[in-house]
Amino acid sequence: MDIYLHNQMKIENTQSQMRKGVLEYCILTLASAGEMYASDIITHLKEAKLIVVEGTLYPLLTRLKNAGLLSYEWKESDQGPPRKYYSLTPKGHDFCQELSNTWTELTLSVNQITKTK
Amino acid sequence: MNKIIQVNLAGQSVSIDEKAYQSLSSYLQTLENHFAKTEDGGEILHDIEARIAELFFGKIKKGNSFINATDVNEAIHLMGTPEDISIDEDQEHKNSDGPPISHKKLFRDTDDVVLGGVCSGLAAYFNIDTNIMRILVILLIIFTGIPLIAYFVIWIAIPEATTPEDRSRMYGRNTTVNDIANNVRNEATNAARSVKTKANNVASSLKKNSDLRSTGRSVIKGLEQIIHFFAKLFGAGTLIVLVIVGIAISVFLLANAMGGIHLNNGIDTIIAPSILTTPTRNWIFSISLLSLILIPIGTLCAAIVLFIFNMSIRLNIKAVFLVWLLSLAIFIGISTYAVGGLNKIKILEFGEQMEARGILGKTYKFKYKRKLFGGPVNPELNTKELPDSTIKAPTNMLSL
Repeated sequence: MDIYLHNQMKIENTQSQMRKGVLEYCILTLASAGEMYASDIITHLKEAKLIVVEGTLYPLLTRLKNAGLLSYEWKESDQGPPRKYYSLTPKGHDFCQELSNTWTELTLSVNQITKTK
Repeated sequence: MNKIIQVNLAGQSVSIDEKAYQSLSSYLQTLENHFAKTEDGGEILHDIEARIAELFFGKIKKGNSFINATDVNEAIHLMGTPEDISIDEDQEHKNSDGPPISHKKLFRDTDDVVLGGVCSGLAAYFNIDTNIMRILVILLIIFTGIPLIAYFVIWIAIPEATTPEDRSRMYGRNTTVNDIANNVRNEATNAARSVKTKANNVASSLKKNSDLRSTGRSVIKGLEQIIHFFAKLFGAGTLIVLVIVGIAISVFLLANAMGGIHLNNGIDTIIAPSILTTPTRNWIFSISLLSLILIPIGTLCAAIVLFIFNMSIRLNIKAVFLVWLLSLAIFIGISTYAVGGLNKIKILEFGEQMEARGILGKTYKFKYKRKLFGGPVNPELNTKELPDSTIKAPTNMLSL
């Protein structure tokens, strides 16, 4: 039982490590399409089953904003209070492009390994 | 029946029932404690609060007039636990030894009670048998009298264990030094953060709405928040003054009980005598007067603290008033009884010494009055020249 739990913990750990990098790439890509509201980003990520709980997104958004990759502005919404709308900064565009290249390379490499297995 | 509470979620007002409020505020508290470590915790928390508010407004739009516990649980489930939220922390050290046991907390055990459940609560806290604790307390009361006041103070200050969670925390894991340090740190950052977010909320709500039509309303809302903020600042100032006054009164009265105060004017020492003649009388006098003064001050302080930190803990006003009445009775009793036991000679002698040093004017004629009461004449005081120091042990000090 102990061993089983231990293994499970490690898998979760690796899974979250894997997801983390991909998530940042996905958020940047979503924001590159235009101004995005946090809830819209959540909807997309949930549809793609990339996040389970919404809370995950907020620390990421803040971190990307502080890194100068995202910026936001307050906009009035039809219902309720003003919302933060996120968009990519020029630096974010470059970063996203780099990530896109890396992702293409990575999928190729991973596919190559897993298929020749 | 359930109370409806109006809460401020990221600057927006939401009606929420009491049960829902409790689970929401404890959830936000865990998040806050969790994100206290990170630099941008305040902003992350604000975003999460704003999202929760949005979810709630969706519910209200559907026709709910207020938010209930189910809505809150749904929102919490959607947002996730702190562990879910912070994906980049290594999780290896977590869950290593079963579910976390919450920290031990002092409660009054109202299931095992003689008077207020204080002894049983303390016994649970210190892992001692309840009866041993009671005997210890009774012995201490008989020999020193001090725990009598402490007992009532604890009775008032410590909540009773009502929920099963309280009861488990009453016996819970032993508090380590590390825990205490963590608690202190959390308290401090919470306090600092609540002041900071208040200021930020005001600033951002003013900024956000400056170009909107609802400027007027938002300005009023901002003003309200500013006034609230300054009310808290004023409360904090009052709190400091009250604490200083309380300490000053305590020092004076305890000195009275211990046999007098040494006044040092740099050249020599005068002993201001106790007010009453015997140590026992002075102790009873001091302690009853102390509780008479400190109970209202303490209650006021507690109320201010609760207000500053937006806490809603019901103070046991009935018990407070009871103890206050008790000390009032003791004080009146001892005062009437002690008129004969007034330390007249010593007090007049003290006045005479003050006169001789020119601290008091000659108008009170202490020397004359003292002779009238037949006190011994101190030949040293007849001359204006005084020895460099006249240190004298107070007569009734330590004669308890």
